[in-house]
Amino acid sequence: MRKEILVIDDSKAMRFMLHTILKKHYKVISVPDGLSAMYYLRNAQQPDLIIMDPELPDFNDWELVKYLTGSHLFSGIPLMVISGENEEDTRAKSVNYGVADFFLKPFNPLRLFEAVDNIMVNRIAEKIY
Amino acid sequence: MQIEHLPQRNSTYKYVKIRKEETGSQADAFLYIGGEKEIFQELFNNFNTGHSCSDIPEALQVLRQLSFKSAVPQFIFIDLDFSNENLVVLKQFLGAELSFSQTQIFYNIRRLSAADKRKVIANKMVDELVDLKTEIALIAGKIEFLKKMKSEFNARNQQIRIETQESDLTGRKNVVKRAVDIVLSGLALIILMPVFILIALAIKIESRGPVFYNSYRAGRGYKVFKFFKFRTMKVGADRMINSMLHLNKYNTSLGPVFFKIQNDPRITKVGSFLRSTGLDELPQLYNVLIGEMSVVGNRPLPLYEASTLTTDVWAERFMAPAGITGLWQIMNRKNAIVSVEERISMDIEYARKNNFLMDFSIMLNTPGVIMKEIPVPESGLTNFNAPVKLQPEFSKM
Repeated sequence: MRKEILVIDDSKAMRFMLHTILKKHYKVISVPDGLSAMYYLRNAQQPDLIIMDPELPDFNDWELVKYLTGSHLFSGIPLMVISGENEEDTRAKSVNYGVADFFLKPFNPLRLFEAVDNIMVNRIAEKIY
Repeated sequence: MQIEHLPQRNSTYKYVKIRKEETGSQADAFLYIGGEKEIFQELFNNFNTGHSCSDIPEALQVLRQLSFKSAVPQFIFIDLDFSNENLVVLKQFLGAELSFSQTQIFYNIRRLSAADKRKVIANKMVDELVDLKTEIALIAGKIEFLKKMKSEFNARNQQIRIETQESDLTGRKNVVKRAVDIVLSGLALIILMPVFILIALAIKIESRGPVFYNSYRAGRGYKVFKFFKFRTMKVGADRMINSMLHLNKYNTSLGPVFFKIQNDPRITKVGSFLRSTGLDELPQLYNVLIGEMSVVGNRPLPLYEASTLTTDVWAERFMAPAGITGLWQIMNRKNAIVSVEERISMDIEYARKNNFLMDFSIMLNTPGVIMKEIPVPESGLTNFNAPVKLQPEFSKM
């Protein structure tokens, strides 16, 4: 079974890019807003990773990140953030909410792919040991 | 558990509409199922109204009565040892009554073993898991979030968008473009084969090294591919970039990195001819044939340039395929130096329009642009004080 990644970003170009970069190794599902994300998470199988913009049209200022990492239903899914904010704020919030990894825009997609791989490997290790 | 609303493989994106259901639920009323008086009391402090009962059969009775009175609780907190059967009975009861459609089940996570928890999560059996001993203070925040979600849901007419593959984002109009690309590049490769051979010989004779130059470039959707050109520079030219950065035509202090200099000393004589005629770009016909590029599109960027453009505003340029020629090359003929911003906005303009007529006009205009680029012969490198004639570029390095 392919590992599944849920991408939440209101920028169509970003979603398209993440599809293209990740599809070779992962099943990618993307949604443009928080509501669609919650609909998917509540109805479909849980993804193995969430990659998201913390600033969404319907849930701004890390609201959805806070909910997902704080909920016992979803906190088991590693969450990666691609942030448009500055490094200091992003780092502070990522630590605060227990985000697995973060990137700042503009980011190097190849590095992101590496980070995704890393998280997936760690996830498998957690399951085994 | 899969749901039928999700898009099938061969569908484009779908809007999922869910019937807005009538509900008799009372704002902020709850039902506690369990035996801990203290927890019930604490929940009570956080809500307006609430009921308590000790097990599922009793809960069903209470819910039935509340339903008659149209005072359905919005939240049910279950604080019982986990029993799959009980939970299923409760969910069936709630599912059968329209008035309970908005009622959410919160389960005390303390009552679940690790295996139970996995099962509950995987089978979507509850709406939220909470630790009723320590997290009651957090419940208000979670409920706030869930309420906001619900109001968004209603306000937006329940429009949900889920994309399961790339074509959900791009549509399918690209089939024609791809077909044109295959035919054009295939024909061109066959017809131009003698030219290829002559160029290859010239390159081999003039300087040591391979005929082709390849580098990794980012194309459509940042797909990285090996990009081919005839070699026009001395071997090792890429490694010289750092020592030459001060000659860069672009001001890079403000963000995106583009590298380009005039009268580049790394270029060979054959290379200079190939560049001025655009012939060095011909091997890209192969990239087109195998689908990594298109005849018309945005310039495929070296990775060090491309990775500076992955912002919300600029990433849109990657929605269009990489092309041998493109809008920027056509527009570029008037002035030699186009600012980085202008260039990216042209890329984005192309990505937005991207239609067959536009492609056709760009293709027709391309030979004209190349003709204009043939430089006036210069008198050699000795006259350093002579004004340097700026040459428009045609998709160079």
